Amino acid sequence: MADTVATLVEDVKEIGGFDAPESEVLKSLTRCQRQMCARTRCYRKKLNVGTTAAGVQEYALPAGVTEIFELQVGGVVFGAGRHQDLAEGAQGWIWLGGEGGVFTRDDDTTGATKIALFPIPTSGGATTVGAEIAAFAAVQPADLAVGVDSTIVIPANFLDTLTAGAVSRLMRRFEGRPDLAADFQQEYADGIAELRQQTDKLMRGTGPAQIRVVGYNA
Amino acid sequence: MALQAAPRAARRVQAGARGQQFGRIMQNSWASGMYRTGDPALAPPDSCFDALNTLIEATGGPYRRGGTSYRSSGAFGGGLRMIWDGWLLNGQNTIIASTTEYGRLNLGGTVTALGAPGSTVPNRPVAMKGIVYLPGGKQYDGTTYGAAPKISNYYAVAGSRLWAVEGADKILFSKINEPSNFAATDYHQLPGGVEILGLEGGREDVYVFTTSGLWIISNVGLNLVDANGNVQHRLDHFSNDLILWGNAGIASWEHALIVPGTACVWLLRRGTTSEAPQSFMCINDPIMDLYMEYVRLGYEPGQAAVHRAHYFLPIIGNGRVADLLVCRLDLKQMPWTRLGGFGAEVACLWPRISATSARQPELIAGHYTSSSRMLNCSYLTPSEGTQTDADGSVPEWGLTTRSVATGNLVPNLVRQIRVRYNMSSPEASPKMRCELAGDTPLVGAASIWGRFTWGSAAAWDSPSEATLEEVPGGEAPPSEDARQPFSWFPNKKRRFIRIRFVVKTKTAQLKLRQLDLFVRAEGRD
Repeated sequence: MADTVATLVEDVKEIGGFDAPESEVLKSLTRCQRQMCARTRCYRKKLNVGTTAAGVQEYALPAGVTEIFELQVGGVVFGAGRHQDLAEGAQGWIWLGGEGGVFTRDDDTTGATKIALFPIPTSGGATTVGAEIAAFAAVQPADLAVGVDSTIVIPANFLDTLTAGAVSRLMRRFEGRPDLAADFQQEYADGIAELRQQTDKLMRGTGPAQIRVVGYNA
Repeated sequence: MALQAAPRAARRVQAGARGQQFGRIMQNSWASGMYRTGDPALAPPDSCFDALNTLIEATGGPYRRGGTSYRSSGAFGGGLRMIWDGWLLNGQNTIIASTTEYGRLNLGGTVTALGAPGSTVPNRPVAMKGIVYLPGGKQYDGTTYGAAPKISNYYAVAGSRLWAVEGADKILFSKINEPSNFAATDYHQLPGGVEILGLEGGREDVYVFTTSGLWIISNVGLNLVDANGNVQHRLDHFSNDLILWGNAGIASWEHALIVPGTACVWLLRRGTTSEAPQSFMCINDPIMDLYMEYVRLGYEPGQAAVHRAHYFLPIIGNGRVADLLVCRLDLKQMPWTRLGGFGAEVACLWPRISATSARQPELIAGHYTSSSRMLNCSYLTPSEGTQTDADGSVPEWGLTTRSVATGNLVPNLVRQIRVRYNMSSPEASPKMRCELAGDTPLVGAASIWGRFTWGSAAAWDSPSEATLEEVPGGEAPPSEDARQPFSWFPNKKRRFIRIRFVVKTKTAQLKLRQLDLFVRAEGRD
């Protein structure tokens, strides 16, 4: 049986025995799913950040981005830089090798999160004008909604973790029973740890291996 | 870090085993019956709020009443008001009264009309020396129906004399063992400007219920004066408070009288050697609000009866039977319950002893309304043969629990309601429904006791069924031997919780054995 948002809500109410409105349960599920996505980075998307414009260094980042794994400008990978690279680059103290440039976070004075590109796009420059800025990022999910089951983004085998988190949260905040929440909280924390491991392992392959040297590590 | 093994299943087991998470509130006795007076939180733990069509076992278990069947083959008049059964000169007779005439119920179920006036209100006849004296001034010896020696609405037998009320305050008495012989000077006239409301005879005493309380005339086995002219009868104004509600409601049990007064139902204990009342005891405190509401609204008691230590008190008036209250007298708590439905719409009851050598006790009753037929009442003996009332209807069984405090005066979560019960029927598959009372009553058109909230703005408007919210999870199935409990999971937060169990289908047996509530304490004050 496919899990739906409605069954998750029912599950939480059943396990916890809560006399809580559906909205309260949904709120807990939504917050726990957000937390799981933030901690495990399991929910990832390709984002279209915008198109480069001449002389414009900063571009608004779509809401809900947790971590950018890769940024491409016009199909060219930009490496992650440090914030001071922008100032140093403006002074000409950055020496870039190969294609593309670097990007870094540069929030504006209102606190809006933006990414800044270096070099600044200019016509005929290293960063072309009119190129698509695409990001591959871990993002936050939309709020869970009954009847919109696509809002569930947690892998199916970790839905018990999600419901445990919601039960734990309701036990603490709605029932005032942290003692009864502890067991669920432990299950929730364990589930997050495992999901993070599984997310990291996914498609990674075997990876590099240490050379065994007798007398040193063998 | 590895996941814990099957944590959810473990929690379910824990919930079932009731670990620290849930507190348990258990009730397996309802020996205090209905309790409707005072703060619900102070109601005894073995009480309930309402017990419809319910009687209480000796061990405190509530069970559904048995049904009724027609005893008479056709209607007699436009509603029955009175019954008397006993031995007259020709043997056992059952005398009944419609609102217009008296009749004799024959063994085959036919009724032989005796003649006017009958009785518009319930009352009580008395018999002496093979003759029954009927209110309204008639007498019948099993063969001859005629005028009584004194016309009266109230008769009594005491000291081997027949007593009759004349006018408002005069009590006449016959010569000893001569119920038809009244000397002109043999009477008592009560002082104080009172009106006599009822009469009850004892061995050597006559209880005279008046508008100014209870008077007792004692030593009535003696003549009024001795040979020297000394007065031998004694007249005591025994109580100023005990104002009789209706003469028909008086019944006796063991050596006590049960008297429905305008303030409460009194139990008057009479000594076994001396009949002087020893103490008065109010026995309807638990349902005082309900009782007084009936008094206030102009209802009156029907002809009450005590049958197998149960006091049955019909409440009639305003064209209907409002209730049939029942008090089990041989339990310490004297629990009250009530009966309803067609089989309880009776104005008069009589505990009859059959004429056979088995001397089977039976309770017979007269239907109040247009059916106007006599009923066999198997209230106390529910069985396969007594699942319905005489008209084929099934009396609804309902038990509403007291308001159970869940603790600490905060809304705690009521997780589970579990009941253990006997419920079966050979004809049908009975189901028990569980409902939760809401906090606020809705205003409805009809007034139904038990769905009524004291203190609401419109006192006689009852909340509708809508205020009783059915607990999801289905209906409890039959359980022959009460071994398999059934649970509902309401998951409701309540400071107090009141639950109603309802069965509307036929049952040959229905007994509630145990109720468990599992409550999780709120963590915040």
